[in-house]
Amino acid sequence: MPGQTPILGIRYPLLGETIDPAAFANFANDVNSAVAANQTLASDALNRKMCLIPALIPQSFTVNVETSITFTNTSLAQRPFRDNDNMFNAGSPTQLTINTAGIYMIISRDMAVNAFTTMVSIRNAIFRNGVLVFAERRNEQDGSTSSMLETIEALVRCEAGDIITNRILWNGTGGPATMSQLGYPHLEVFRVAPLF
Amino acid sequence: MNFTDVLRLPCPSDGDYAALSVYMQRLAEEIEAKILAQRALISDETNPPTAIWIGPNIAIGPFSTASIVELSTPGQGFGVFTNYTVNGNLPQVSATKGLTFNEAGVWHFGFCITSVASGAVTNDSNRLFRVQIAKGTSGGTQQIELFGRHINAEATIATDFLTGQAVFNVDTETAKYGINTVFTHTNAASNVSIPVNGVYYWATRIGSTDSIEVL
Repeated sequence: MPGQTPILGIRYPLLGETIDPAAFANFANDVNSAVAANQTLASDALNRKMCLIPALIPQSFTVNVETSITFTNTSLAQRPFRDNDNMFNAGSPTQLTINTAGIYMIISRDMAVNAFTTMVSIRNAIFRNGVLVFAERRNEQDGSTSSMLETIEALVRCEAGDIITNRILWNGTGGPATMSQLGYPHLEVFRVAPLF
Repeated sequence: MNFTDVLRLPCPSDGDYAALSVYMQRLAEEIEAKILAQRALISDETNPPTAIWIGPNIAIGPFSTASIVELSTPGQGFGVFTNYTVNGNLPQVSATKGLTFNEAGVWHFGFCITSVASGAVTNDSNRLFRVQIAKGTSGGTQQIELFGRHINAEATIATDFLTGQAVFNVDTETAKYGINTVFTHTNAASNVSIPVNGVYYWATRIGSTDSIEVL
């Protein structure tokens, strides 16, 4: 009857027991299992569940109509697409689906806005299952003729199956109502911790 | 007895043949200790101390331009999702020292504040939220980090949202750290409220301030 370590159960022969090949094999197999489990944990740590996704097609946002951003699973060198947990489905390009429960960092960079004439405000918001979780509303974009960039981020508690959308709402007059800067917006979702 | 070069695991010498079982036991125990130490380090990375606060459960305000409103979590009906405690209590966001952090390290803290004017909106009036990470010292309060967000409101009635975040060091004297959170506005045309669940805070420890020995 071999002894074993208290936590991982690595078996070893006790004094007086025969050290035969089976004893060595048990020892080696138990060490193998423990190291392999660590390898899995380390691999998970180095390869967090994440989805980094750009919107590479022109986006049209009508004034005063909150609209979800449409994302694309195509990479640019500076705006990579990466999804290691099947969060993006090209059939539903305006949403991500959380497949592994956890605490996620969600970062949204909204788009460059081209030459609005009398823009009053723009709001970039993250929704979970249709409910606003966090947002930022920027005002005073009057007469903007150059790009405008806004970044928001927060930790969000997510269950498997939760739907994440990134919505834009602006008001004002003038236009155009199309945001077309290539490479923006960009949504980044990565898992920071398991659920508590 | 011999030892391996890096991890110093024991192995028998030529004269230790009779004690092979003892060596295997010691080897097993030391391997277990090394593996568990690795797991603890990995856990620090994959399950760091993290908290998300949402509240208050009763709206704050309306309050005027003369008010300086502290949006701390104690006693205001905040819900908190967290995997750590501070001296056996749920972590809080408060200027009172020693309620937020449970261990030294590099921490990431952020906010999203929602505010609503109760009536008319003064064009270009500001909404300002400031966060000060502070440490109490024998010479007084030392500012560790100061950050926040300042937006100008338009002359339209709407809900405003402000976000921000910062990364800072917390040393081993965690009981001396507090977070001061202050909201003000300059909306003279009407007062401003923080609605129910209009304050969203989050914090997570993203790394150690120590040098980690990698074998």
